[in-house]
Amino acid sequence: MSKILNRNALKKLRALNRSNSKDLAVELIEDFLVKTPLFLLDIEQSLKRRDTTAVFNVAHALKSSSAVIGAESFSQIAESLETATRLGILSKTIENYVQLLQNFELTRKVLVQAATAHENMSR
Amino acid sequence: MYKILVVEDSEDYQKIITRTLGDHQVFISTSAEEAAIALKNANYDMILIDINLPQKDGYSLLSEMRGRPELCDTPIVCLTGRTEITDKVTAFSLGADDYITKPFDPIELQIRVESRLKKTFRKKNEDLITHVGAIEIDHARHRVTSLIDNIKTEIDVTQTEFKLLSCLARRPEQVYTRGQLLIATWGEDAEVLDRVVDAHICLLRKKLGPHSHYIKAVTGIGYKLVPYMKKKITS
Repeated sequence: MSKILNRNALKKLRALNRSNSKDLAVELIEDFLVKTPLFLLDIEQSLKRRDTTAVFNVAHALKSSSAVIGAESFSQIAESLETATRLGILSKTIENYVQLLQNFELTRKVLVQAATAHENMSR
Repeated sequence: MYKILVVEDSEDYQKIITRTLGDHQVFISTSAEEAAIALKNANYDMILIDINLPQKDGYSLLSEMRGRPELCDTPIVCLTGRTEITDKVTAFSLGADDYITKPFDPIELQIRVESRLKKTFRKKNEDLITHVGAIEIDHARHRVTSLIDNIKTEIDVTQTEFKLLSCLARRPEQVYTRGQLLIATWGEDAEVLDRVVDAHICLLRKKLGPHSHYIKAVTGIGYKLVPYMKKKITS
C-alpha cells in the first residue's frame, strides 16, 4: 500500500531551492492543489463524452504532477486510470476516477499541512 | 555553462528542470512546433524532450531532429512518464541518447545530463581533427590535407566544399541526401537547387585528386564518403 505522501520527494525538491527563490516544493504543491480539481472535472466531462483520449491525457498529467510532490497513492490511482483507459475498460476507468476523487480529499489535507510546515521551515 | 533546450509542456517539470540544471542556460519550448522555431534560431548543446507533447509527439520531433545533419551529434535525452519497454525501444531506435522516466530524482537528472555533456564535448574536442582515409580535416583551421607517400599536401578547398566534405566525413558510409547536404552547407532557408550540390561535389572531387573516389554518388539519393583505397585489380 503506497503512502498518501512520501516526504522524501519534498526533501529532494527542497534541495533545489536557491536563495531569493520561492520554496519549489510549496510552489508545486500550490499548483497541484489549484489545477487538480479542474483536471478532475475535465475527466468527468470527458467520460460523459466517452472521450478516452482526453481521459488518458489528463490521467497521464495527473500521474506525473502528483508523483513529483510525493503524492504516491494519488499517483498510483492516476496510473491505474491511465492503464484502464488505454485498455478501454470503461467500468475500471469509472471506478478509478471515483477512487481518484476520494483520494484527492485526503491528499489535499496532507499536502496543505506539508506546505505549511515547509513554509515555516523556510522562514 | 551549456545551452540546453527543454521541450516540455508540463509547467511543474519546466520548473524542476530549470532549477535542477540551474548551472546551465535552460531554454523552454512547450511544443514540437515551438522547438522547431527555437532550433532554427539558435544552436543548443543538448536537447531534452518529453514524449507526451500536445499535437506532434516527442517521437516525431526526435525523428525529425535526427534527420538533420547539424543535429546528428547533439545529445538528445527523452524525459517521459512512459515506462513501457516498447517506448524505450522506440526512443533509442529513433536516436535518443538517454531515457529518463518521470518522476525522476533531480540529482539523477543532473548527473546524467552532466555526464552526457562531458562525454559529448570530450569527443567533440577529439573530433576537431577528423581522419578519413588519407585525408585529414582540421575543423578548427578549416584546412584539408592529403597524405600521399607520407607527404602532407594541403588541398585548397572553398568554404562550401569544406562544409560538404565535413558533413560527409561525420559518418563515413552513411548516405546523405542532397537535401541534407544542402541544409548542412547553406542552411535551411537557402534557396538553392539540389543540383548545385552535384556541381560542388564535382569540383571537390577534382581537388581531392587521387582520393576523388572517396566520394561516391548513390543514384537517386545523394552521396556518401567511402574513405578506402581502391582495390587493385590483379590478373
